[in-house]
Amino acid sequence: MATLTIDQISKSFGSIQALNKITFECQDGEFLVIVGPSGAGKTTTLNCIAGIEYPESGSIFIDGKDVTMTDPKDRDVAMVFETYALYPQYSVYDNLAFPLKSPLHALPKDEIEQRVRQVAQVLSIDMLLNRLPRQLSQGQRQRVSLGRALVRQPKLYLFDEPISHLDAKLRNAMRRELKLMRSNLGQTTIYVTHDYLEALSLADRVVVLIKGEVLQYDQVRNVYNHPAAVEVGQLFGELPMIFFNGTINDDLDFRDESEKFSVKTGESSDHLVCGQSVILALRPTDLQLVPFENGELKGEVYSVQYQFGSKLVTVSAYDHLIDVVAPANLSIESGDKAGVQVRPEVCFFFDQETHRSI
Amino acid sequence: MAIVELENVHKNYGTPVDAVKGASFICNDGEFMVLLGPSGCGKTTTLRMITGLEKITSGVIKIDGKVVNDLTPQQRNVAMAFETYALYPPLTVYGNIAFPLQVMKLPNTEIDQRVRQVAQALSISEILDSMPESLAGGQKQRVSLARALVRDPTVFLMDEPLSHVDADVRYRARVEIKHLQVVSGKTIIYVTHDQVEAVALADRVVVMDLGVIQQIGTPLDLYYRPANLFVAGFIGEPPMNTVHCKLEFVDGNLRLNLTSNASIHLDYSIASIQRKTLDILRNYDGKEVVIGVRPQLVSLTEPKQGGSPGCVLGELLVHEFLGKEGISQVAVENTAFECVTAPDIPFKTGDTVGLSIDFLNLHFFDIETTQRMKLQD
Repeated sequence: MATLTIDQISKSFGSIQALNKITFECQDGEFLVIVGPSGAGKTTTLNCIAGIEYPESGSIFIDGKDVTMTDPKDRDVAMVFETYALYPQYSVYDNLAFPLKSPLHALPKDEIEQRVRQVAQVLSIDMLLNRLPRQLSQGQRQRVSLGRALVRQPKLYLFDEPISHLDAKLRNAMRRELKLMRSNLGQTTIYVTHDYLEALSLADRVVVLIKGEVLQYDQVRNVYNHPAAVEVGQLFGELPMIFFNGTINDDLDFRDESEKFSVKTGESSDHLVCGQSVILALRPTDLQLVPFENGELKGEVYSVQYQFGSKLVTVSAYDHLIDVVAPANLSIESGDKAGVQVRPEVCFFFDQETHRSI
Repeated sequence: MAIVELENVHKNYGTPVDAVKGASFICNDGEFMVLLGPSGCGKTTTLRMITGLEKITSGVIKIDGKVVNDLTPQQRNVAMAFETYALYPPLTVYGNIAFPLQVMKLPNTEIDQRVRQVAQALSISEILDSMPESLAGGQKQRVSLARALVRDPTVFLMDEPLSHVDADVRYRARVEIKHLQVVSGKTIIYVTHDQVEAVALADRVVVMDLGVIQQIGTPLDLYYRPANLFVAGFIGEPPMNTVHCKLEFVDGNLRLNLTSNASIHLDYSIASIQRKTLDILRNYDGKEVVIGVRPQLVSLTEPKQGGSPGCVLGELLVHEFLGKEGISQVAVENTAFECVTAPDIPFKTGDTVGLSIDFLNLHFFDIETTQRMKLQD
């Protein structure tokens, strides 16, 4: 158990600034997820924490102790990579015991046994200890692989995209599996992923890292419900957000740049200023299809796709394609005229210059 | 006009087991049909047999009523789109799209007209002079589609065309493909292992496993009326909850014993169940069946309702906040149920909660045949 503090670390590779003054902290027992698209600097951050790479400036503290330039072995952190790196010829027990037999630890036999059994119990694999990896389900293998990191009882766990190479169906199942384990463990953990669902599901707090900068560092629900920047909004959601450039008019309503439609801003107008250049962002799951005349946005249906239990209707309007999630039994076809209702409370506004939330 | 018919088509690669075992289906004119299944299920082999890239071992394949078993791919006039980015780098977008027509030695004026027409349909008119390397992923996708379409084939065959594309581009390309198919009215047969893609695009889906067609149906059929346990588990996210249980008729109730613990059961009043349904289920009185329910159709309730009809008590194992919704895992003894809920719920891990399941949302599967019982009209 430990606390982790990252203070203003920077790192560049040649002319590319990989990390630019990254700052965040992880409390004792907290599960912190670093999320961002590929190339954001997630793995570099993790490598700096593990001691595999060193930052050019800034400091890293584990339990208040400056470890910025120390060797990996002196940091007492465990890194979990891919899930299935188990020794196929060893039983589950021997796979779990392996790290404790290394010269670095070399614990007495009875202590090894005690730790292995304890971890196996926490992960509900105690009845599988005599099996070989190939006799396990994928979920069980994942637990064994995690168990092998746990027996060492390090201060800090570091996960680098442990499930992102799996196909969608398995990944969803594994994510729930990890969530179950996480609630039984209560260990300080830093978890890196590009998948927003893993971030939402697993994290206490989220660090959104984009192009080497922390754009948001916040509680899970705030990141989803109040994205701090355009890029954060783009990252969080099954369907891509829809963006319109425009200005705020005299009534403090949004007027799009082509002057073709307006959207009422309601209570979110508190922070808006007349004449301001803004980006309006909408989530497809927040929108509703209405008769053509009643829509804030008016257009023509471009395509209709099924989802499970609903339809995904794409409306072409004002040179944009606007996705709307509609009930499965709604009768609608390509080419139909359609209106899209935009209620004030579903609008996100960002500054056109800074892309920051208003 | 293009109708594709398969009659009892087999493919054997010299192994004891056929790669495709008696595939039969009809893809109607202008229909978007998707072959879906896990890897190794025979979907790509089936597509390649339709294309003519693979000889069939037995059976008949017809295009527009004409047997094409022995015709070459060219003679069948089908277009195949594989991976997306196979563009010729030294040629412009225009040159890439025009290429198949130049091979066919069409007059230049006609080539020009057809290229511009398809470019307009796919919104790539303004990039016709660009080189492939300067294009974004989604644009390359559309150029590649345009090149396949410009030939005006009778049937359009696609083998996982989006499988190696980034998620956001894939999503956009899906919209384009669906739009294109509706506008062009082309017959499309499309292979994927991704159920989300299959359901999004298809008019009808052919679900395959182990070389055998498991079900042919609309996306709604697969979701609400899966033919068997395989389809029930393969289609839908999270997968359908399926539980072995003992079925019995007790005190005017249909009782489903979910575990060996006799006090844990789902009860439904017989009076509330259709006669036809009861007639079928009475055959299983005292026997084991598999019941299934979609996670989206299980409600999480206060525990006090646990004893009422269609309710059972469980312990909340974990709840995931996923933004627009949440997923809860609830343990009923040793059986875990998943249910899709609001993003936040008024319970925490370890709480006793009720699971409420409407009888009409329950599926019953025969334990021997794994087929779903057709209980309702």
